[in-house]
Amino acid sequence: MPATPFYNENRNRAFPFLAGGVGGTGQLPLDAIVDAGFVIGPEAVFDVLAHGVYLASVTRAGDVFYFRFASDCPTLYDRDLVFTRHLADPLYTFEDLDSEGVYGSVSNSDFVMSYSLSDSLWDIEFDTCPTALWSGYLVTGDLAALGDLIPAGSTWTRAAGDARLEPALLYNQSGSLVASLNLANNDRTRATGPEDCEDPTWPYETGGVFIAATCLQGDLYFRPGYNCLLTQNTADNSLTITAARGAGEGEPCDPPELFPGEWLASGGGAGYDGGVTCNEGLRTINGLGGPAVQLLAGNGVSILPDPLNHRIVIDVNMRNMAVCEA
Amino acid sequence: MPRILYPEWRDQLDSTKYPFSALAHLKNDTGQIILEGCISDAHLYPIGGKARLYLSKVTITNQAITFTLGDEEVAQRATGVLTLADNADHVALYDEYDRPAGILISEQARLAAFLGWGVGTFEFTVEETEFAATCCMPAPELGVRALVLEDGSVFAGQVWIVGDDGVVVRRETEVLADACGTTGTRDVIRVDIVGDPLFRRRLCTAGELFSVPRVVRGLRVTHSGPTFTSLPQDGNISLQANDALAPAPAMRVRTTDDGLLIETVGHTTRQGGGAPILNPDYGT
Repeated sequence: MPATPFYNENRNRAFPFLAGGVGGTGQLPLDAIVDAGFVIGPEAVFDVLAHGVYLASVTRAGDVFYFRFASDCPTLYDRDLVFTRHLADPLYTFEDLDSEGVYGSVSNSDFVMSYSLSDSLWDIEFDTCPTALWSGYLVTGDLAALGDLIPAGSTWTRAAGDARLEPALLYNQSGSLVASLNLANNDRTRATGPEDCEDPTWPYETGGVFIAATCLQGDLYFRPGYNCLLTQNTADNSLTITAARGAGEGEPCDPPELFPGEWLASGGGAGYDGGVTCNEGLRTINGLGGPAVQLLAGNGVSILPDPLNHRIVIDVNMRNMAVCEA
Repeated sequence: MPRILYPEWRDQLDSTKYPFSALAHLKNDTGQIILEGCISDAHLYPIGGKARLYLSKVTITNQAITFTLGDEEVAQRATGVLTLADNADHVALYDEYDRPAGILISEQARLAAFLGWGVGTFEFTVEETEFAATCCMPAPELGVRALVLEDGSVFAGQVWIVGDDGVVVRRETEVLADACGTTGTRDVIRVDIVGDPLFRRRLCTAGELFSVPRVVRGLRVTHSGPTFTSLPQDGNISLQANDALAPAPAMRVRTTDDGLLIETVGHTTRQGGGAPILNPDYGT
């Protein structure tokens, strides 16, 4: 905490604001704010040369002041930090805040081009990690002059070019750490029906991205699943994920789900992609394989094709056979 | 001459060595001098930066001035480039992964003073250009700061790992073995590589290069009795001529080199004794 003499000096100059932005006629009194600082979080896309922080407004409700700090960084729009003071608060009152609205969620429907199904069983909502986009602290001085400037029930506002904070008071962590890992899977290639046949259908929207997990933090581990080889190199701090048949958990009997509770198609095969699995299609008859199996009619049998009705008629008519007659 | 009792922040420090340490020489052994007030203020926070941050190098070309920040362990911890054509007042510093590492506050006219050194690279020691401690923010390298790919791409913030083309990523919870009193669970990211069975559809559908095959899924049998559908078992359908009610059926179904032969056994019209009996449907 800076020594009080530093705050005393700041009561008579623009700091923590840029010179000329406060203290003039109609401007924020010099002694209202004596120190401030802000930390721009890792998820904000902030450029210290192009963006800044400024005092957007001071609102007075009775004897309570609300100091609203904003930024011209697009990521921080509508994420203003609002500090609260009472007219009678002592000199050099300190307060720190995190930005609001940091709790969010994401769902599968966010990742499809169009969403028409009313059944939202598949549209599972996942919470994103609660992280503050930015935070800051404020130290106020003597608010008497501010009280004279702003009558109760009114708001004093400034544009982004005024009352800007010294750039050196911003700590920019933009893109400087991994806040969380989130998992998702692109959709499978899905089966379609042959010509003149209906396509398989699913009780959820396809073609998008399916969320598997969100907000993974703390100590995380990677595990090699089916056909996956994972190698770790501590010398260069790397993790290599490679496909290798039979590695990891070996070869799968069934494909893994893209998202929890993935459903099979209607009118399709037994695979999640709606395709016919190997054993669902007729591959052999009595052990004879394709691509074409010949059906031969021996004595006593006629085999008649009926392609229009997709039928083969096997007629045991005793053709060429000696039969007894009564 | 009037005396300003409360000079503005930058004006107050103009005649001091700030943001450099009061003990910094601001002069190297080749004669380059950094004038007081050349840089008005600074805020330095390189990730992983150690103690005694200092200006280790200034590289001047016809187009730009590059400032290099070092510390007691590494001479190049971060760099900032001032492009002369941009007429900028400040210099933003970034580390090797392009992450923010700080800012040097100045004015265009003050920074132009460096151009007086001429084109070249000018190095300094920590004793010559160490920054004041109040400018330096410790930023330890705790945790995973970024994910870096082989092509140099750096990912930070909320990172999404997306499986595609037959790669599936899932979250699993692993129960820790009770060893040395350690219990509980941990999150595991499982990576399955299972391929995309229908990949040819995606690759070949353009220009009608791929046509969906018609797969025979089963046989529907229609006869004098009820109609039934026979589905393949492990891909195979078995046609048999057995009849539990007939101890000696005449019908045979057997495989041959040419295909599946369905026939009846017995005397044919050519083998029977006596005059052949004509089959009224088919003649001789």
